Amino acid sequence: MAEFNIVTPLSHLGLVAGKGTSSAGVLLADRPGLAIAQVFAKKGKTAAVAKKLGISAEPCVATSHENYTALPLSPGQWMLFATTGADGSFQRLLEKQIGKNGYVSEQSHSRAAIRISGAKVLDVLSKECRLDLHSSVADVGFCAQTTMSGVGVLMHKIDDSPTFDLVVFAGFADSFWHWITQASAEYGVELSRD
Amino acid sequence: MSSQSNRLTKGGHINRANPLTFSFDNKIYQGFEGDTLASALLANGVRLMGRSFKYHRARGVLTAGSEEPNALVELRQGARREPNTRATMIELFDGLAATSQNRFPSLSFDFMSVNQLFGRFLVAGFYYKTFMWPSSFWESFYEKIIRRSAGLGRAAVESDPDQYDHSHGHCDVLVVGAGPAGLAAALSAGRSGARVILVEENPWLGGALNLQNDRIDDMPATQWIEAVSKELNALENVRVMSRTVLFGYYDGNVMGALERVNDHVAPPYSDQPRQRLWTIRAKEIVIAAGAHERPIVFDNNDKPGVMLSSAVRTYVDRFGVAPGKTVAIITNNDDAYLTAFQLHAAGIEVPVIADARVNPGDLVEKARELGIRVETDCLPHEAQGYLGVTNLLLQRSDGSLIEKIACDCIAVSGGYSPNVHLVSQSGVRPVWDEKILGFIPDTPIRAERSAGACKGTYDLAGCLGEGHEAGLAAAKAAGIAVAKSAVAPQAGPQPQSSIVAVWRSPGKGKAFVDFQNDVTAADIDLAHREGMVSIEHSKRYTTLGMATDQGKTSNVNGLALLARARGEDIPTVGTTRYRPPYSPVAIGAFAGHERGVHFQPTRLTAMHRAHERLGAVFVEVGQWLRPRYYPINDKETMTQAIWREADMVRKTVGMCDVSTLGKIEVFGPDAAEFLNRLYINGFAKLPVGKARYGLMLREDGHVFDDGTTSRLAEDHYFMTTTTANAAGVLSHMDYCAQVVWPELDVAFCSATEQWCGVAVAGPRARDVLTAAFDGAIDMSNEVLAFMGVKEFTWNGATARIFRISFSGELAFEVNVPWGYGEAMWESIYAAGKDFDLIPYGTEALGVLRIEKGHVAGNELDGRTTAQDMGLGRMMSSKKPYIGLPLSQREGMADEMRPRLVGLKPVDTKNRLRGGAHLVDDKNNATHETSLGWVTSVGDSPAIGSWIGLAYLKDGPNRHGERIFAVYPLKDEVVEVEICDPVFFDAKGERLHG
Repeated sequence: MAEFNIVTPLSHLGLVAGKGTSSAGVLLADRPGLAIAQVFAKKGKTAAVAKKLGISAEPCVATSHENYTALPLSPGQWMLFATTGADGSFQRLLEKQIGKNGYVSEQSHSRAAIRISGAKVLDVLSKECRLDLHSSVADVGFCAQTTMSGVGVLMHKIDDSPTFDLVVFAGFADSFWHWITQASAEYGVELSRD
Repeated sequence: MSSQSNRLTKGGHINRANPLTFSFDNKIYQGFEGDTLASALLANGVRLMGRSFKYHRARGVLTAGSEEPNALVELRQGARREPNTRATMIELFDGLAATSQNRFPSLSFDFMSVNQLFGRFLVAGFYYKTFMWPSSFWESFYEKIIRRSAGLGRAAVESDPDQYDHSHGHCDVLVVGAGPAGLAAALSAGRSGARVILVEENPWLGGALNLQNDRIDDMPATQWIEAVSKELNALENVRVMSRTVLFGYYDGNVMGALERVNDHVAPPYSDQPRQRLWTIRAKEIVIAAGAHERPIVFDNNDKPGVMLSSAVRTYVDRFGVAPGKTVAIITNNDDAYLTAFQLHAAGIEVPVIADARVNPGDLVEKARELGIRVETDCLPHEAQGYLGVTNLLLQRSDGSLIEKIACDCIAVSGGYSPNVHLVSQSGVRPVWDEKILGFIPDTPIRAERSAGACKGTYDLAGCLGEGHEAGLAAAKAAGIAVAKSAVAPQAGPQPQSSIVAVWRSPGKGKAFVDFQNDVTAADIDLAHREGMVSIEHSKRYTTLGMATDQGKTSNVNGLALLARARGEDIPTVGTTRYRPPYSPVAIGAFAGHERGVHFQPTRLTAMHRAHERLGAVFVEVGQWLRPRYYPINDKETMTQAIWREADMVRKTVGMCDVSTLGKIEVFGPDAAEFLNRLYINGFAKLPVGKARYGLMLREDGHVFDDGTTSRLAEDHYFMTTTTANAAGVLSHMDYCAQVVWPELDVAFCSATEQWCGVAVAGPRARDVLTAAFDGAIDMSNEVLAFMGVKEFTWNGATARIFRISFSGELAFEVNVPWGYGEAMWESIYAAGKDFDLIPYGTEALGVLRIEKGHVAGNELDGRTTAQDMGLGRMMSSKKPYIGLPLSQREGMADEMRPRLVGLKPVDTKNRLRGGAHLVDDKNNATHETSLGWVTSVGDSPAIGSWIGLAYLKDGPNRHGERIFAVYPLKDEVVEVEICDPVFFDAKGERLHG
């Protein structure tokens, strides 16, 4: 058997952890290895699932739980993220938690997550994001699904500095990374991985 | 190097400490920082800047702004050459190179100016009249001549090396224009706390404010502008965007704007874009776009040196340039007197103010006190000169000549036209205001309001007051609490100007209305005589207002002349509708970064790097990149590689990346019922652990998509779709679940990228996989029979193995999570070494499936039915499903429709071509005699010749017959034998092996 090696969508770039001292206008970080699961409530069970998981059923607002973050996708649907459990254990854990109220699809490998921060974040995002990301509209916890540079993006505002997480399908990760690094170049950009 | 002979010794908002060198038509000149190309050329005494569109008449600069129709030049050189840029909008930078256009061989001697001699043939509608006969001459002869003689600049032929970008802006209040009204609006809205975007097309703020003479809040204009600019920049909620033109007003208060990020500096711009295209979504809009001065229509009014009065004033005031040494003034209103006073103060001779009014008012006395001659009831008759003005002939309104005035510049004011382009784009029809002789905006129908000169308010105090109120009103309408005590910036009172209409000063020569498209007063009369009485017809017949300047200086004069010809008033004639773009926008700006390979995003599979290492040649399949074939060395051609790969799969074993297939997880108590309604065949009774091939129809009964769907649990299915249709199928399912059958409890999501897949096919497939997975899964016929599905664990990961086959061989598809994909590929590849395994690409995959008569994208082309494909028996009679009712239509069920057959060349040396048409008589191959067409072809190792799939009328009943495949594009005719579409292993023994 060949040498065994689990890859992530952007691992071939050979990025290393950032120093956190960069003066670049934009910081981009690949966040590999997150556990991701899509949760569906059965008909009439949205509130029950939300309660079992301790998350909100409100649209466009993330719930950050001790062990995971939930981003609502549509009525009765969430995408949940955790730092451990990408081997499927996170999906199984959630399945157990919600019981017969719904279903959980394992998605840990399906996406790439990119964290963007720095003084010029909004200048970069507004190049392709049609949504208004001003803090008066998009508060911390804001999340939305949109299209940027032709790629579907699930975005989540992490903090007010501001920092955003951008989640894209794994197949588009290279293409999206190319766009966002190019778009950031005029402001000075530091690339790293978590 | 020429000296700046016409530069005034003082004044102007230019930086004399920073001289800049530039060239025009290869001659070197000097200007200053703060100049435009037009002001710098004028400073150097250059009046001739271009040749006109049709008659190639000598033209100079008419305006000092974006409405310029004449002074169009080619800016920069080589790949960056940009034609038709307005010299008035080009900011001077060191090393700037510009060239005149539409002339041969040179600007001062233009051979094509002979067109003037034939002017009587080139009148309105001349295309339609002159080049009618013979019609065959149009493309071969006339069009080429017209293209050569009439026209604008040359586009660059190389690919543009610069970057362009897009951006999206959001605000409560968008203010268009940073003149006094716009600045007042931005201030009042900004101070209220509204999110404001102020857009200004010039690099400076202040608009038409006179820097030397205007005073606001007891400050000189320059000082006030500086203070306002400072305050606006300090407000966090205000964004000031200069060098940005708002070109389009679209539905929902979406505005298009173009920011010239780097047009004012020499390239390259490193990582910055040259221009940025903005989409701005504004809750409320304040339009403070100002007004455009109009020329007066008189004979030879297009000579270089004839300029708008406001432009003359701007060149003196802002640029410290004397547009001429002796400047005669023609006017029908007060505004030109300000120009006379400014010229006088700058020491420039003003021989006469020719005022069309009989009783102009108080300013006449003031002019005469300064020693300036004023003639009332006085009109221009003709401008004289060869390449520039030397004389002006004056006349009374009755046509009697007065005298000839020597001058090298004529400042003309025919009154102002409020800039109603944007409000007109918003859907509001402008209304005629007789008091100012101009169109003003009617009641808004969108969330916008006009303020200042674009609304017909021309006095400074009025502009400031209106701007202030509009800013407050807009902020309030956007939901911002507004302080009532806010006070507008103050300016002294100005007397109301009177104006008298002079639409055509009497004369018989060429008097231009639209300078850019060379439309004369006579053209409008002619168009009217020929029946073009509607302004919309007149516009199109004469091309008035249809040039890149959008008729900013010509539209009102033009429709006034049409009204005169019709003997009606202007409101009756009305105005045309303005459309975006207000100002030209380069295609590159619309494209943004989406060009070349980045025109669309590219999608890669988890095994992409492994394919690269194997030297795969890739092909685009939708957005995916897939290995097309794997050449073993430089010498192997594509044809050879495909043949080898297909051959090896049948002889030993091959592996293929099938990750791109659409994968959809379907959950829910009603998942089975949901799939039963989507597919034409049954899925409710599919046992857990089994896969089934399914076919979907569109609502209209045509085939939509196909794929293999497995049941993983009672309420959990795993669907696959074709690569190309994955997103389409998912959105079809969303529509069905949300709109058609909301009662079904079903949920689904894409799993395309969670799982990646490898197909291993061939007689040794089982051996290879057993070795690759170290026996982690039993693949024997007893445990994993054809169409079986099993889950197993491999290196800690969940893996799924499907006993399905596209090639007709013993085959398995193994899915693992994305991150394990490359490792799985490598493991199988390594294990395959002992079994002569080869990787195969999409081309060999295609050959193998054609050999088995399996339909794919070429056959599922949106026009074909399940019966056409020979899959009619799959259509269930026990349940309803999408597409069933309409698939029963007469035309859809017709037995004589073209249906799927196989084709083999009678002479096995011949090749087949996809797209060839099938006919019985090779000598009578026409659209009418076509019996069908070839959909897919391949050079089959198993059959030993080319083979093809085709749709043929009555095909299934013609097996064994011979017909012809014709391909006229390559002049090919191939005799073919019709056969069953399954060429190989018809009994299917191999896949059960």
